[in-house]
Amino acid sequence: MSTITRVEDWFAGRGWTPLAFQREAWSAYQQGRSGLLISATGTGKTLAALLGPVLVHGDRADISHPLLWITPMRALAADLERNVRRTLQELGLAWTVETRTGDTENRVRARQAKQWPTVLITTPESLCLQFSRPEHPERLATLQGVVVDEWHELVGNKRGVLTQLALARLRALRPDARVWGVSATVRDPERAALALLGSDADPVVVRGPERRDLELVTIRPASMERFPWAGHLGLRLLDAVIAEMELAATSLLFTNTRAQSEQWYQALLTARPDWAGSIALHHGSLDREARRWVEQALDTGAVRCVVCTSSLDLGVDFAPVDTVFQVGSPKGVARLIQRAGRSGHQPGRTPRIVCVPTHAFELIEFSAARSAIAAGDLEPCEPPVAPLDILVQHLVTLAAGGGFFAEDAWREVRTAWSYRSLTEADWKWALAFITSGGAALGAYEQFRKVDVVDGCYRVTKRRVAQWHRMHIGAIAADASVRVAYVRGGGIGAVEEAFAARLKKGDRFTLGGHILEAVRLVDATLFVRAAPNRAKEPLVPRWMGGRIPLSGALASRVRGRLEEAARGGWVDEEMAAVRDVLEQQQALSQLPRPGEVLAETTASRDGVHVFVYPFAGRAVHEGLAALLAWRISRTRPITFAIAANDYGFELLAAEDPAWTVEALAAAWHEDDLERDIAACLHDGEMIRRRFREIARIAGLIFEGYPGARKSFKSVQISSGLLFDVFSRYEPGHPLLGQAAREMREDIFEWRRLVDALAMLRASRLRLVATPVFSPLAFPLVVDRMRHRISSESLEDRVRRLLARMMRRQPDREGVAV
Amino acid sequence: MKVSIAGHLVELLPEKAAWLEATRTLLVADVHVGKESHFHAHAIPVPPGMRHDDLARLSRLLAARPARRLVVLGDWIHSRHALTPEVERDVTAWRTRQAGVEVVLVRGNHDRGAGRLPASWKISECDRIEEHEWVFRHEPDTRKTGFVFCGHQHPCVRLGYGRGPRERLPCFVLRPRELVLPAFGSFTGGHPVWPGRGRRIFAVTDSSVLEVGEAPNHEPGPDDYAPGG
Repeated sequence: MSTITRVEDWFAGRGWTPLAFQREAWSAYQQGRSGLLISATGTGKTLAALLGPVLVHGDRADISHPLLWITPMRALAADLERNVRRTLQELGLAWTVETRTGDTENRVRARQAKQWPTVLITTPESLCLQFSRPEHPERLATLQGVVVDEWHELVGNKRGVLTQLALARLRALRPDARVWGVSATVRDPERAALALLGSDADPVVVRGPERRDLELVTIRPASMERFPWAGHLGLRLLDAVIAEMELAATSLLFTNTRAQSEQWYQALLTARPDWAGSIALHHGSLDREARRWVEQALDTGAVRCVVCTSSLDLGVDFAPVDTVFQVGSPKGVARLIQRAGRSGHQPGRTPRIVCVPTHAFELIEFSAARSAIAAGDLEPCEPPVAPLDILVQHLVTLAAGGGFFAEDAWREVRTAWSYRSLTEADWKWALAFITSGGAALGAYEQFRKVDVVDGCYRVTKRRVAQWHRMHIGAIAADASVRVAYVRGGGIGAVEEAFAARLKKGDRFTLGGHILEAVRLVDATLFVRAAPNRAKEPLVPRWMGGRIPLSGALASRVRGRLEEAARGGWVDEEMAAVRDVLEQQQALSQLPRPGEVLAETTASRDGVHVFVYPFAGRAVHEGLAALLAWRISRTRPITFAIAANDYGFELLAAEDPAWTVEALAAAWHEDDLERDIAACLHDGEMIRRRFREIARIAGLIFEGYPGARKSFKSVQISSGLLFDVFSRYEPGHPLLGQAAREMREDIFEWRRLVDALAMLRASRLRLVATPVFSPLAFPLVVDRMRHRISSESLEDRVRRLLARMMRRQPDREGVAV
Repeated sequence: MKVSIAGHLVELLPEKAAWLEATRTLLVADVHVGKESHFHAHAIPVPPGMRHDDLARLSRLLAARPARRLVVLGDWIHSRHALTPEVERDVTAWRTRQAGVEVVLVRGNHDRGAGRLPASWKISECDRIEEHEWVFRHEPDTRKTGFVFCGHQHPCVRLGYGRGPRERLPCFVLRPRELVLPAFGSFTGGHPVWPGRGRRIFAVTDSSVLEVGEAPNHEPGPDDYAPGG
């Protein structure tokens, strides 16, 4: 029986017919083309990608022409493996399917090194790891095809750039291999395809069904009177969530942070002790065994609810659930659609997402998200431009994996979309950085990472290669400490800073367990199950970037507020926040078209000014820093800055006498680039950015949980690293990259320039409020602050000390 | 900033050193010379230049007062990888310029790991020094016989709280029977300490030493885990 008949029969056996886009994808694959498959979640993308190779090779496929399947989440790999294997078996094909990720046991890896499966499922990092081993090219040079799953998750970030470079390598090794990306709906499919296939490719773009019919509902408090204006937990709505959860056989509850997922899990268990064992927790800091168990339980329907973070964002084609909950801000339209897509796979049902606000304003965000979904207004994703940290990491990978010649590598790297305009100067610097440290000749004594032997760049020291392999990747991770029971058995990881503060006997939660710290030995925190006592356990906080509200959503939130100012309450969410917005109007104002609202309020902390451009947090951080910096040029002053998605706040100890004129004067366009660069360097934001870059470029050795002690001697805080680079090599290209990245994607330069133009074109309305307004409140309670100052360090410290002394009387009468 | 210790005046200097007038002794701790070379040996390209600054700062400190000797309270050298020919040459040159001053190293954990120092450095080594009621050593001493001058902790203090601005500064820690010096080296990190319970904290800015009072809100709070906090 021919393969096509078998495929047709297989579809018919399920009562299905192949969809037009699936046939289109198969036929393009059969013609030897490469391309990008774009389709909404749950529409059969995986079959569209898998059956092309099946139709070409059918029974003839053997291990000499394997298929490589790259997925961004290792959580998905096991899921994918099961489903691909099942499909192939049902088609009667003797293809073998295996996974290779960071979670794969050494035994399996060793076997795979000898014998590859027909389909190897792997992550971008694991693929790079293979390139770092000298024996790899032989195997990879026989590939018949590559599938890159969930390309929309990668295209806009550095992991995507890592994938681009890996694919450039594969193209050089095996020019005939077909490469197919699989993606959810993206704003610019042609560019996403070029980013995948290289700047000189001629990709096929296959479009499947799009889905705009998803249902977004919100859970609203019975009364808004006591509902918070700021916050992040959302546990007030726990009862309503439980009621909704009872109606569903299976559900996923997405939270925006790992700490939040731990708290929700505990709260659900406390409220419904009978659900113990049937609800589970899944986030990126849990041990792989725990994660695997949850993934399997979800697949088999053994759990009724999984509380999770973005660690379960993907994998939408499998393990569908009845109901999806989103706790807290949706942040972005695409992400919300993606999450919703995990439900409603049954015929005749639409995906449905139940949104749970953690504070009043999130109801407006959900309302705005619903209108953005209806309009198909997705966020754009720009591939990063020529990041040097990823480039040097890739070059060391190649050097460790048998070596490279500069000429060949230069040509190859420039076929990757992100490096299509890589300059020769940057390229030369990258080569110098891995061989001599990058500084003027001879300045870096004893430094040798990559050697040049007869023109070939090679890692010759075994230890260098080993360390490099441990640090391959572009996922920002903080120094972490493994958490394990005294009696054995790992639970997960917490940040070093958190572990260091724990005293013996302190209780905290991790993976839903309540644990008691016993001792910290090297990089392992030993714990035991805590006896059940009334005292609340601590919840670890993990760092991790706070995702800003996308521009698409932010402007729609502003639109909703302007409607409200005119008395338009368009839906139930807006009707629910009416009281709060009317209080805002009574105390201050709501933003009106053509105006930008600002407020000043005096408090015991000093004088606050709040400005609300509604341009998204990233842009607000930029605007706030710029305003603070420009004002601080006129006199010695120190500002503490906070920013959120709606606006920003500057707080000064002494009254800067805010006026409309003073604020408006700061929006001018003169010397914008120079001023932004200057305030960037002053601020602390760039330090965090540099940390990630330094890690990717191999400047920071974080070791890994359970690492040997020898790592200690080269561990260094990123703050210190930033300081020494700024002081001793201010022109270092990696510092330059940090500033560029801040400008481009943290501050979103274009949006910042647009926002400045908008501010200049708008009328600024400054209102003095006796107390913080509802809009100001979330900014006031935000603990994440930056400083911009033109005072000397000594003056700043003197002021801080004086303030601390002034606070002393507060404590009188309080027992210590 | 001068503090009185056992009847003697000890001057805490913003250059992260202490001056003992009575014995004309300059004290520093945790210099970590050659730490950058140690990183280079491990294929991590951090910028060089720190040790030149640190040695120059030592020279300035010695030149500004009638110093008879320099006592290093441990961790003078970072590791055996830090002992490169270039580091050896630079320190020898510095030592030649400072020939009139006696340099004594009270060995620290890093010094012990690094092995013997080059003879050309003319640095005498010991594990502790006891002079009258004063003890010089690397690590704090739990037994507390006499008054202990030590390093090892790399103390730093965080100032500011709540919604206002914050600073993190290296500091001296003074307890009834102990003075911990901040780490002297430019390429060293810090470990946070808080005032209270008989601990006095003296924060070092680039131009002054300021005492941090025992203030409320100085215990680590939940926001100490916040990003950028």
